[in-house]
Order: sequence, then structure tokens, then C-alpha cells
Amino acid sequence: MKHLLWFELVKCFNPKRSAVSFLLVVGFVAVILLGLWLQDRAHGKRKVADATLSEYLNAPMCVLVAESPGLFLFLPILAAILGASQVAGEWQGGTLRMMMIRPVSRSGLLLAKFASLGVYLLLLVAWLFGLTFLMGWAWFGKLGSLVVPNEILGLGGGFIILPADVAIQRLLFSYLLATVSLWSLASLGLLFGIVFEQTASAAMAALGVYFISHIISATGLFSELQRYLPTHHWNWWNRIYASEIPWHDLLQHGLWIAVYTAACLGLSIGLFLRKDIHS
Amino acid sequence: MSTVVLQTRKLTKRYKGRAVVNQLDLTVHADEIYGFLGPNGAGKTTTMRLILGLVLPDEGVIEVAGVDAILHRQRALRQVGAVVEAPSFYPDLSARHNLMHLGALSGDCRRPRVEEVLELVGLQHVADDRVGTFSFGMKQRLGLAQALIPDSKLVLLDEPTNGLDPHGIKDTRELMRRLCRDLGVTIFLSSHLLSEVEQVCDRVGIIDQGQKILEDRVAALLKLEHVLYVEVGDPAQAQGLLSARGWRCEPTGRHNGSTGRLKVHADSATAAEVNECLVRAGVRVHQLLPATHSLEQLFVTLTENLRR
Repeated sequence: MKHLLWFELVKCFNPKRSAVSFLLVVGFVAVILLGLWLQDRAHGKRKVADATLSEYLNAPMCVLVAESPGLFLFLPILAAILGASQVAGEWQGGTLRMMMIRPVSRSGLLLAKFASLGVYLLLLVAWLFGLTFLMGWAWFGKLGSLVVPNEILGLGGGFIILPADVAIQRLLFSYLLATVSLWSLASLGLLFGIVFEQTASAAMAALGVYFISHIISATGLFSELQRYLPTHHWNWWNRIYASEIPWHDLLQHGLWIAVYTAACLGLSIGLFLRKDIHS
Repeated sequence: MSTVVLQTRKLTKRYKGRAVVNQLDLTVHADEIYGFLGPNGAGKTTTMRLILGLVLPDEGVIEVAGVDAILHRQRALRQVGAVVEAPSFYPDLSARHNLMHLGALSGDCRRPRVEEVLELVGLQHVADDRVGTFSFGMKQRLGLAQALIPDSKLVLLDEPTNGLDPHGIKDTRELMRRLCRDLGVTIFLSSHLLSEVEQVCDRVGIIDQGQKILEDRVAALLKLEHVLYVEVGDPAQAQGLLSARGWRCEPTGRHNGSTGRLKVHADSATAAEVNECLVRAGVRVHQLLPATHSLEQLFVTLTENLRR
């Protein structure tokens, strides 16, 4: 299992794929900072609580602004594609056959693939966090308190101001929870990869579930269904910014996510154990 | 009697109700090169996939060195190396790294062993090159190298000389002979190249439409021994009759549900006597075939006959 996990990590972090993913994050962070700078120029004098918007533009604010599009759109797309390609990519390339003619357990292989992808996504999120923080700090030249606009986090109107020490903790915690959601989405990609045996189809299916679930949540349709939708729980990271962290809600969301992930992995293993490998 | 390294019994695989491997019995002994022949679509690759656990059987038993390869796949494959169809590798990794990682999955990633097999297949000079830059022939050689990495006792090769230049083909044949003769590796070789099988194999099994139609020593098939192959309606009765007349005979395969083939140790000059003995006793004789000088001739006769 040790060799299997190491090999999966080597494959996950192959230079081409990593260069693309990690450079995409650099581009994404640059766009976020540029956007904030333009906002500062246009609305910097606007009053927020007892200070101007400019005064709140700091490194934690950059990390917060990057979080919503980054962890709602950008990284989920990567997670779904990477999850889908874990098995399907090797299936199409014929390398899955090369592995499976060796004394490797099928369930062990899937778990190693999931674990290596988990590490990869964790590092990608850490890269997003660290880079945004450092570049934001370099650009705006300050740390300080964090103004959380409730609206962009889907928590209604108004602002919550978190002091500097609390802000960093909350941001870190929120990014960590978002990583757990990405793992869960990746497990869905993995499952579809086994079902479809093609990266493109599997990624489309995983992203389809992700976005359709969001659309259902956003339109308010099927209200009875809402709590069972994965996105209802995967967005738990924005709850962290409430003035009082709703621990009970987080626990519930966490349990649901654990159930989704375990179900996807369980189904993946069950299917993979019965699958004929013709690649 | 030498040890049996690989055995399948009543091995069956169906796709959408159609048996692509049908009640297949194969026996491969230690230290031999076994040629596995059959026309396109005969079920050769599916059989290899079944043996390696890539495909799950519907019925039957597979034993590798006495270990049930269906129930204990990992244990059975510990000393098995294989190339099934065109070998695929991780294009961004070097040849050496591909071998080290794949070898580690079989529990053997020793650097000296990797260097040894790279040299065996003649790739030591490009060991650090990315596999993505390799030609098809080089990948074939690397495929052979990865099959040898776990210090395999049994190696399954699916068309290993496909895509190789004449030097590569010659080297591969010599390598197979050397592995078998010097290192005691048993080789299960699937090939379309009958001349290749004739040159390197000790025994052959011929399958068609998923069924074994013949399994015998190459020397016997090439008339280096006096042998007749008789296809009859009732092989058990025929065997009894011929044995009673002093002809040593044994079953070698089946044709379909109603006929079977016997190998009779008799000169081709006695073919008429053998035929008469069977016909007189009411045994239907579908085919009577003396061993030939060419495996190709035998192969074509056997497989064409089944298609009629």
C-alpha cells in the first residue's frame, strides 16, 4: 500500500498537470487582486462601518474575496476533472491495465487514488490561500481586520467585522472546510470515472451534478429536497464567518458530507471490483 | 512429470450470453515455452486477461503455481509478469522510473534488478529518457522489461514481437529462450506468428471460438513423432477401442459439444487401419489428420475445419 500511495502521488503531481493547476491558481489570484485594486480606485472612499473601504483592503480581505469564486467555481471544476481522470484517464491511456496485471488490490488502488488526490487538492487550496495572502499583503501592504459582506457569502445583507487575529483563524478554517467539500466532489468524479471509463464524460457528469444541485438550491425549487442536495452541505465553509460559529450546523453538514463521500467511495469500490478491465 | 505452473479448468467467459472463452482447459508446465495460438477473435487475449484477473470469469478455475488465481489473485500474481496487448506507460516518467514504480507494486523495486532488465531488453542507454519520446518498438521492449521485474517465474506475453524490427524480433526470441533455459522462467506466449511459435515453443495450445481444439508438444505436431489426430463423435469409446488394439492414445481437446479429438501414437501409414477400427465399431470419424511438417498447415486445417 505504501508503494501504491507513493506511485499515485507521483502521478498526481506529474510536472505538466501540476504546472497547469498551480499556474492557473496564480492567474486566478492575479485577477482577484487586479479586481480589488480597481474596486479600490473606484469605490475606495465608500464608508464601511466606521472606516473607508480602502482601509479594509488588506491581505485577509484578498483571501476572503478569492474564496467565493475560487472554492465555489474554480477549484470544484478542477476537483471534478481530476477526480474523473484518476481512473478514467488511466483507463483510456491503458496504464490501468499495466497496474492491474500486478498483485494490487482494486480497492487499495482506488483508496490510494483518492488519498493522493486528497493531498493534491489540499495543497492546491493551501497554494490558493498562501499565494492570495502573500500577494495581497505585498500589494496592499497591510493585514488587519476583516470585513465580511454577508451578501456575497449568501448570509443576507450587512457586514460582519472580524478582528485581525480571529480573521486569519476563520479564513484558515473556512478554506479547510472547503477542501473537505472538494474531496467529496472529487469522490463523485472518481465514481463517474469508473462508470463511464472516459474522463470527459465523467467530469461532465460530476460537474453536472454539482451545478444542477446549485441551480436547484438557487431557484428554491424542490424545497423538500434542498437538505439532501450535496451543494447544500458542500457550501458549509461560508458559515464560518458568522459572528458565532454555528457548530451544531457544521457538525450536521460534516456528517452529510462524510456520508456522500463514503457512499461515492463505497459505490466506486463496489463497481470497480466487478468491472472487467478492457483498456 | 514437471510441475504445473498454470492451469485453467472449464474456464468460461461470456459477453451478452455469448461465450468468448468456453470451458477452456489449459495446462502449462514449469520451464517450458507454451505457445498459445488461435485466429483473431478466438479468445486468446480474453484468456490472458482472465488469468491476470483483469476480467472476471463466469465459470471455471485458474491456478497459478497451485494458487487459486480467482480467490487469491494478489498471491497468485506475485511472481507473474505480463504484457497484454500493446504496453502502455506513463509518458512523463523515464523508462527507469516507470520500471521502478511498476516493480514496486509487485514488491520488487531494487535498482540493480531494474538495471538488469533494462540491459536485457537493450534499453539501458535510454533509461533516463521520457517514455513519451519512445517508439512503439521501444515501448514493446520496455513492456517485456516490466514483465520481468518481479523476478517472475511465469511470464505471459501477448504478441511480444509486434512492432519490433528484425533485430528486435531475433533478440526477443533469444531472450525468451534464455529466460526459459537459464533462469527457469515459464513463458506463455500468445502469437499469430506460427513460425515464431515453431521456433521457440515447447508446447502449443490452439483455441478457436473460445474452445481448445488442440494442445500438444510442438515436436509431436511437427511429425517429429508418429502421431495421428482423430476427431470423433465419441472420444471415450474411440480411446477404448484404439487402446485395445494397442495404439496409445489420449484426448487433446474438443471441437464442440458433440465431438472430441484424440492424439493417436501411430504412423500415418496406419491411418486407414485406425479409421477402419473406429468405423467398424460405429464411431463416427469426422477428421483424421496426420501430424504435419508445418504448424501453419496444421493450424489452418484445424481452424478452417471448425468454421465449415
